[in-house]
Amino acid sequence: MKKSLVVAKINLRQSKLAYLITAITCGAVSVSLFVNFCIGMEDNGGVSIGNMLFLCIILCAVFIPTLNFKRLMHLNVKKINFFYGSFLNYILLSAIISVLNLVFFYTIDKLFMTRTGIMNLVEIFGWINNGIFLAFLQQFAFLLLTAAFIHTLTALQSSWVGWVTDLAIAAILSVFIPIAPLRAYLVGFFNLIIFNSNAFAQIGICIILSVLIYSINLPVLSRKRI
Amino acid sequence: MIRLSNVTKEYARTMALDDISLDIRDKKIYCLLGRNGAGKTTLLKSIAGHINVNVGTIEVDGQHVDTMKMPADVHFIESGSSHFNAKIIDLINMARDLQDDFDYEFAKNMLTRFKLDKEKKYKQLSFGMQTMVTTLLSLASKAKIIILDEPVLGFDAFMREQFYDLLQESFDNNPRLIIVSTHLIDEIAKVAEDIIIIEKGKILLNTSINDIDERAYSLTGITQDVAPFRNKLNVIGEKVVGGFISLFVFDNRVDPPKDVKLQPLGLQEFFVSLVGRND
Repeated sequence: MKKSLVVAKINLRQSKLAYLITAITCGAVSVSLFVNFCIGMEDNGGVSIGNMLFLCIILCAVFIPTLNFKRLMHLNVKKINFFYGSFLNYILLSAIISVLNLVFFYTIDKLFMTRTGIMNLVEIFGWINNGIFLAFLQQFAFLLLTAAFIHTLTALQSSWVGWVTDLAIAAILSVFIPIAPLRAYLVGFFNLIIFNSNAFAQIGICIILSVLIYSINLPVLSRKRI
Repeated sequence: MIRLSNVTKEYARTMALDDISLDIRDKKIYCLLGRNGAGKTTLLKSIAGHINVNVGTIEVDGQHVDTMKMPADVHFIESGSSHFNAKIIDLINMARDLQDDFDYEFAKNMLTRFKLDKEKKYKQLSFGMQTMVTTLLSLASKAKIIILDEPVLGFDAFMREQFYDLLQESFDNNPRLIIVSTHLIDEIAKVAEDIIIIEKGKILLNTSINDIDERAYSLTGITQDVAPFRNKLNVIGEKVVGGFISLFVFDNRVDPPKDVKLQPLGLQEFFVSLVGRND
């Protein structure tokens, strides 16, 4: 466990590229927000700066299995420590980003909302209606699921299984979206993990799916060449 | 400690390892020699569990090895290993935090001795210096088996001398099994005790450097004096210059007639003859 914590610490410290891209994106959105605020374009809409922080966890979930994996292996890290350490990263990042996004929602978003028309995903997804604590947990669980999915999909790309998975996802989306009865299944799935009227069910489903999807990494990692 | 039984590894119709069986037991410095593409890196990566073999088994300390069961006691480092672009001291701190019994003092002493600026970032170093840091990180680990793949690549003569000192010092401090793959046979012979020669995926030789010193020699003389030895001894190569012929031999020493000159064979010449014979 101690080694996994060290892996998590190293991953956090060595994800500067993800932080930089997120910071640049947030900066760009801030400028746009400020301009909208100055000229009072409330119909312009757009999403909150806090939501741009989601980019950070998405980028980390791409860079950790692609860039950090080999570097950690060259420091003689065991694959199992990488597995647990990376998941700890996503738990931590999901929690931090959820808190920060709520801070943005209650401060900057509230301040600018009337003159810029910006929306925050906690509002769009209806999470904030369940109170601040549940909104935090719902957001945390959703971000954890997103990170687990992206990490796993990225890790899979080194083998043919990854390409088959990509094709399967593309096929599912392109077949399910245009056909109404099938589209209902997709909508049902997104209702479960995002728009669920039962916050506890949404949190539970997201966390269970995160663990299940992330555990696919065990056989993937164990077969992975260095 | 390391046992390979009938190991075969094939890459898209190229036989990298061809039915290799090998036992490496003692705590020594071993030199793995072979030409480019002979299968050195594949062999070393297979032992470290970085890649899987197609046929055969590899065991380290009796434990089966593959990518699913990478041996904890093996530290494999190749030249050009990727590392975080962190300060050198931070890399050492990371290694200390990640590895049990990492010899922090040894690593710090070596930084000072090799005049490596601990505040410099990894990518600010020259290729040779990066390799030195990588080597230092592996030698400071307390792994029972250290595998260094082409560690002197990119080193100038001075750095190579420093590297051999570092290797010897690390071994003296902590005797263990160290395998070093290299092309520079004469240099590694100063510190290595045993030599393993691989060619076209097969082990050609696995013996001690002393054995080579004793049994590798050349017989030089006019053709009719030297020719009779051709069938009696294990001749690994020959060279004809003018009317003289030199036979390169790897066999027990003989007492040659006075017109035939016996000379010890340098390791480089021995290696070239042995490998060249298989062309």
